[in-house]
Amino acid sequence: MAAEQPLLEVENLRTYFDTPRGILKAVDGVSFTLDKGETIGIVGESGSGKSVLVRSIMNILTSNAIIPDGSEVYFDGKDTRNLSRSEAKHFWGTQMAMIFQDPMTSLNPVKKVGVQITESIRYHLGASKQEAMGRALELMVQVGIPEPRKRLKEYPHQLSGGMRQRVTIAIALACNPKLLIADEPTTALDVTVQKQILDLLASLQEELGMAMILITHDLGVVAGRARRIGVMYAGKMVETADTTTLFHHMNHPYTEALFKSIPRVEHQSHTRLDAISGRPPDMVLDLVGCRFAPRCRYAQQQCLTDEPDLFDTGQTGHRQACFYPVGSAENAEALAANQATGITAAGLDLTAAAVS
Amino acid sequence: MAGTGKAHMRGEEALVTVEDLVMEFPAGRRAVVHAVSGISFDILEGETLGLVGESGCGKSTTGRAMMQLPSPTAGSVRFDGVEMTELPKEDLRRTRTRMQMIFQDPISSLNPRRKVKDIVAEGLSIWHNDTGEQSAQKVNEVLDAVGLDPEVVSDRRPHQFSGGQCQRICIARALVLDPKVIICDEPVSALDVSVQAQILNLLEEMKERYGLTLVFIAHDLAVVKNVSDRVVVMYLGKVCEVAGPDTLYAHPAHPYTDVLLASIPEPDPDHPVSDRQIEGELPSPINPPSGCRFRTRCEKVQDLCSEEEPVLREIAADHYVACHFPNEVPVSVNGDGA
Repeated sequence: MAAEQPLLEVENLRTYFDTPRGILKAVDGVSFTLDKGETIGIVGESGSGKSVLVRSIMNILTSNAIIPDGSEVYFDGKDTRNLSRSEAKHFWGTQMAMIFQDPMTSLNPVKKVGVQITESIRYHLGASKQEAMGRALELMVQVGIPEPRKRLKEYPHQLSGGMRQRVTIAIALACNPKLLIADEPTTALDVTVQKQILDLLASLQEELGMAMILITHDLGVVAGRARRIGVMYAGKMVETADTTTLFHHMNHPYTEALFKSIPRVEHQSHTRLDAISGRPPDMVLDLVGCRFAPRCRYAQQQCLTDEPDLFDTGQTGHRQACFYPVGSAENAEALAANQATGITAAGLDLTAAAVS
Repeated sequence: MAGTGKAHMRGEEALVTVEDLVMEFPAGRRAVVHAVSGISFDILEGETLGLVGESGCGKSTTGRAMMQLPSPTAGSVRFDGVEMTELPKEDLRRTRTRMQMIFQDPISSLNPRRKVKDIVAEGLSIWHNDTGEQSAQKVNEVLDAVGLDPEVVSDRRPHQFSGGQCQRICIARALVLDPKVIICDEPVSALDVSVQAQILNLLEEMKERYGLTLVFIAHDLAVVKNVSDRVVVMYLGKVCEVAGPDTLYAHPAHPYTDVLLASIPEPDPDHPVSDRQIEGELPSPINPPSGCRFRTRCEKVQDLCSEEEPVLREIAADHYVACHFPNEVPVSVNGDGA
């Protein structure tokens, strides 16, 4: 697999937005590759830039977006940023497709489900109305919608949330894309439905051999689903590794903090959660040093002045960006030093009962 | 899947007692939505009761019915010895100050045009003849309690805050009238995991500090387990199972609880993704299945399930289930985590 050219190569991607408050650096130098048929999970809090990252890859940004030179996105060897609008129209759907968080707003409320599914089939594949309907019916069966024939004639409001998400998946799959981008596909859904949708995506992916980028803020969602995981914070990738390595050898304090804030079923009830204090930085500001330092328990003087780059940890494919990686001797020293003074170099009070 | 059955009720000592609560809404053409069909539960003072279930199971409706928003179709809600459903309007308003609510979407539940201090102080300005100074002091106190700096936030408006901070403002607003009970309707489902942990910790702290009794409504079992002292699992307007959180999670007796637990995404790659999945869709509450309402999606279904509605019964110490064929659970159960 390694010898083959990756399906997607993202090299130092930066996406800025020109806002009234100044230049907002939503994505600030992200690189990763994705092989054919592989799933990568991208995890981070709201505002970490994960959605903007995939929108940049797909080239569907708003008009105030600026992508500085040096940012490169190659899909199947082609630079997606140089596509003209008309080329892009044929590129979306057939090569790359996307499903969004809220299935109600991504479907057209005044068009029947069948029309919405067949639209892209007719446009891209030039199928006749009848052929397209036949294909739509197949897709509805494939995504597990009961009574597909009847559902094709219904409007989105007549379907439940889970069913609507199945319809958006059917639309995304209509032209057999090579890459499916799922942007928080289950955040708006119940746990039980979330499981159904994730199971469905996994089985479809296997069946169709497409690659997938799964975006979520929940490490639990990607743990069993993605082969590799990238953790994003404030526009940067702070740690990437294959899933098992990431969970067993978390290096970045942010990854560790995210993991610890999840309420676990195994824990006794009323276990106090390790919340991450504070909130992500304002990305309009010029950020100096490590972006996580103000919220990090291990922050030292160096973290405030130098910005750590992603570097290899020695384990294959595991890269992280922290001077004091979790589990290392330096990390233990840093924590001990901070605990001795009760305050980190960035001024985070370790003794306070971290309410905020 | 019965709501009928009160084996789990604890009698007089409860602070809030909900009995045979029925909530129905007209759906046109003489159809009726059976949102909640005769459920009973009680809450002791200082306890956190978790209400869990999927969308459409009636858990939010139950929470609102307790507040008489609107009053239930039938059944009784007793709060501190007072029958809420029969109170005249004015008395109801007065009683309701001691029962407050927090909603799912913190941003849309705050008036975008008002300043934070006015939002939080509104309850006070309606009820008390406090001097401005006293009420300002109270507002500052609760803002401080929820982890917001009154100096900084008082004159700002909701759009200047993140979702987590807005939820803190909502909690402050609920606390300002010194309520006994706070009903939290999915308070963290619109928030990120990291912020969710902050809010859950905050609720626990506030409960301790102000001696609150909480009703915690959520669809995420891991979250409910974390905060609750007792959990009620609901499905399609009925109660399936009632138990302490640690018992419930260690030994789920109802097949529905089983499936709910199997659906939680585990943040552990070595934990295989369970192949148990709930089949099909939630049946329509306009025409719910006969007998046990879960039978259409249950893997243990027998003829009996469609004929007879199961009644809540005790299968182990403080563990109640409404199922004809529950999972085996050990009879001697260790007490729930202290």
